[in-house]
Amino acid sequence: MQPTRLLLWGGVGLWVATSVVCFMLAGPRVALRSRSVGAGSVAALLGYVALLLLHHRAFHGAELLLFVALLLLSLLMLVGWELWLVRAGITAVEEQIATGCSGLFIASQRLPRHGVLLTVRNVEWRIRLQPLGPRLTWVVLPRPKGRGKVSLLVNWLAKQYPGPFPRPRIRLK
Amino acid sequence: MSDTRTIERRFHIDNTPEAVMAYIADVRHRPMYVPHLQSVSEIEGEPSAAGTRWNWTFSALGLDFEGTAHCAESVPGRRYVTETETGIRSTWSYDAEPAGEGTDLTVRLEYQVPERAIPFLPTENVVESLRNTEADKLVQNLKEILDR
Repeated sequence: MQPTRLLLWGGVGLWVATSVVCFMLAGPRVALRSRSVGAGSVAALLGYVALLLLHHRAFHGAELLLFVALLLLSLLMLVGWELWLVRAGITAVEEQIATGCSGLFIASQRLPRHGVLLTVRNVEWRIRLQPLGPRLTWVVLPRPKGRGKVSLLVNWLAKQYPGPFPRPRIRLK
Repeated sequence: MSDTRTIERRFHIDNTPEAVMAYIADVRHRPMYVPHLQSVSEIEGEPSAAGTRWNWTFSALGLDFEGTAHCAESVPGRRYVTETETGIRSTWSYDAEPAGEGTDLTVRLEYQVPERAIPFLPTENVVESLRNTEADKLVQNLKEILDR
């Protein structure tokens, strides 16, 4: 494999692998988010382009196809649906969503097949939930434009289920 | 020695002063509308009452800052004040006045930056801009949640 292609796979692969490993090693109540994986992948791909430009190199055949495919996939993760893999059981996630809805005055209703229907000012939004194990849930959240109540709910849920990367904690005295 | 700074916002909410202040006074609601407040935990006392204490985690610049705070004053439908006890000392006060069928709410944040910390902070313009952005988002969020 050409060194540049190795870099292309390596950069994106390393980011995705690091995200997954941190997620596996982190404690409960964390989430791996499609948006952050997509953002990291886009950054790695742009870094790769910068490297090519620096070395006056161009894409070759399959390399360009691979790059475009990875870029499209990464952009889709960045701006498409809000997909989360949450380290919590589906019941705990449902309860957390109910708490958020109650605090934000959002009418919510559990759907028969793993989901929650939100109603804000006569507009309906769906949260889809899929259990992947006793402590692992796949969550598809809406991504509304602007700063409405549904955005506030998604932001609040992100605080309840932070990302898997360790963050320095400073205890103020 | 410390440097005291103040940020204030006055705005209208289309809801009664009682409803507005009941929502604000419940400390469990705070991460829903304070943008960078990650969580409140270990609440000691009734969530809306004067004297209640809690731990907070504030996330900024990729770091989690943890500290404690308490409710200094709580007058249902009129006034609510909290004070942080650790780190950068701050006082958050919320004052409600009836205005038509709604409420004029004044949110005032006073905080003290220890002089020894000033050299380590970003420039004053950057800090002020961050604080103002945070305050504007807080106003938008409260209106979004509480407007009828």
